[in-house]
Amino acid sequence: MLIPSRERALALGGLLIAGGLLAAARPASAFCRTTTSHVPADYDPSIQGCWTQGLPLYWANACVSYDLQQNASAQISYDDASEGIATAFSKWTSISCAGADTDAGDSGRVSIDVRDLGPVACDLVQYNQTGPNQHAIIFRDTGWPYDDSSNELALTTVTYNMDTGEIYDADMEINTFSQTLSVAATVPSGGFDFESIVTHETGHFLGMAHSDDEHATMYAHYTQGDEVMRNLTVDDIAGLCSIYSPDGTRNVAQAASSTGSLAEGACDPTPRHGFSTQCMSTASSSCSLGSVGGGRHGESGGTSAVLMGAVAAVVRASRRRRR
Amino acid sequence: MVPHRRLLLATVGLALAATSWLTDSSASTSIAIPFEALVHDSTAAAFVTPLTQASMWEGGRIVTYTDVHVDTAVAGPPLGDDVWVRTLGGGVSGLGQSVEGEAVLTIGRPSLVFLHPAIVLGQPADQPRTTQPGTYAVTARAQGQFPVVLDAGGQLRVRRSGAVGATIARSSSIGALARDTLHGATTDEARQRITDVWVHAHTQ
Repeated sequence: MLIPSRERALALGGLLIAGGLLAAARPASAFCRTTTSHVPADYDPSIQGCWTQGLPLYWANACVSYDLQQNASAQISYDDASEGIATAFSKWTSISCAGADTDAGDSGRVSIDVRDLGPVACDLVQYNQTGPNQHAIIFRDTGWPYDDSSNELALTTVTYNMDTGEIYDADMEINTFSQTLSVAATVPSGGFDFESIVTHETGHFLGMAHSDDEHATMYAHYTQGDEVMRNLTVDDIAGLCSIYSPDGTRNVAQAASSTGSLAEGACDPTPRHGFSTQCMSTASSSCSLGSVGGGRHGESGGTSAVLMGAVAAVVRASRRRRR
Repeated sequence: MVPHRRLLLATVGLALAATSWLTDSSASTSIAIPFEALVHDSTAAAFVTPLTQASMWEGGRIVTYTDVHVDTAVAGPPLGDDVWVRTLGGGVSGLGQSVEGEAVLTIGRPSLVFLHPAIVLGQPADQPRTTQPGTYAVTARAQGQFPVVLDAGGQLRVRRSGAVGATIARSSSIGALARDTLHGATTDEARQRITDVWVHAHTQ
């Protein structure tokens, strides 16, 4: 909604936000968690440290699942992909945390486990609010379904509860349409290291954001052919331990728990609302426009074009009134 | 650019400059895009200020449509006063969705953006792409967005986006990267650098 004296209000808002950021600014210090608030384009984590607006994301249950799309890729067989992804996840889930109270029964290991529920037929990134889901890992061999095929290697989409930060769903797409990935021990010239990419993306899957530590797997820059991101560093380990403590608690926002800590849920890797190997039907789905009523999914492009026409009409009518 | 917009741009820029200045920043798993490729893959470039936005479910995922005001068109065919820009992710009815490395358009915060017509989401991957009439996407996602900030000397400059996810630099040289070409440039320099290569990039 547009407000009167928008420019003045925005200018004042900009100053207030800047003031808040200045107050919150701290030296860059390595690992960061993904939050419910997207990092603004004009925020510089290398100066200002982690973006901490919003609520940090976490998986509530002690176990979560993923599912490799059954076709895998012409570049990487299902078996190779399955092994590579399992290896990537196990690097994270086998982490031993410093300072764990082993006398008190802590194993020292992070309190999250990941299970492969096997191949799924669904090859869409989607979250079904009322029916079964899958946390799909999908290779895109025949086309990249977004705008920028030539510049993308992988895309992880995380769906969460905006009021608590609890992750409900995560899907990962890997661009094998335009890019050459390698599962070889030594990455050939012109190739990208599958294990490095997947280890980095599984960090996002688990709720990690980018780190300022240039040696970390969650660091945001690396060079083609590099294999260094296959292996977690102390910083990556500290990051995951900060979310999934060995004592079985999650470090959460006070909006999710007044103590800032939440006991893990049972080890049930079933996706929210159940598991299905099939995509949800889009035929009966509708859509929601940003507010009440429970958004549903599967809206077709044609429908959205009509919707955007409606949005545009409302916005322009609002402007005419304002003018 | 109308005066009140200049004031807004300057104020917001000054506010942001107070906390953030041009240095190396983090970047998803994308390939760092060369400047000429960014220009080539775009149909327009413009300084814009987001006015209003709405998120919705589309093809099983949440997308956000932002109505941006075109402050200054830099290159490409005329865009009109306002255009719709679609980005992946957003929030609907208490559910949020984040997509690492996506452009983040924040209301009231100006940016230089490289744009191309947005494709319809949810199409079969092996079919020819259909675009969504009247809607644009940011080319190369956050790599095609350069927020405008005001430096200590009172100059408006563009900087690389803090929303860029992990980027991989190609091992072979394929020309200057967009981030290196534009990061730190004044808005005038950025405009000049784009127009210098626009025609060439679009006639290749």
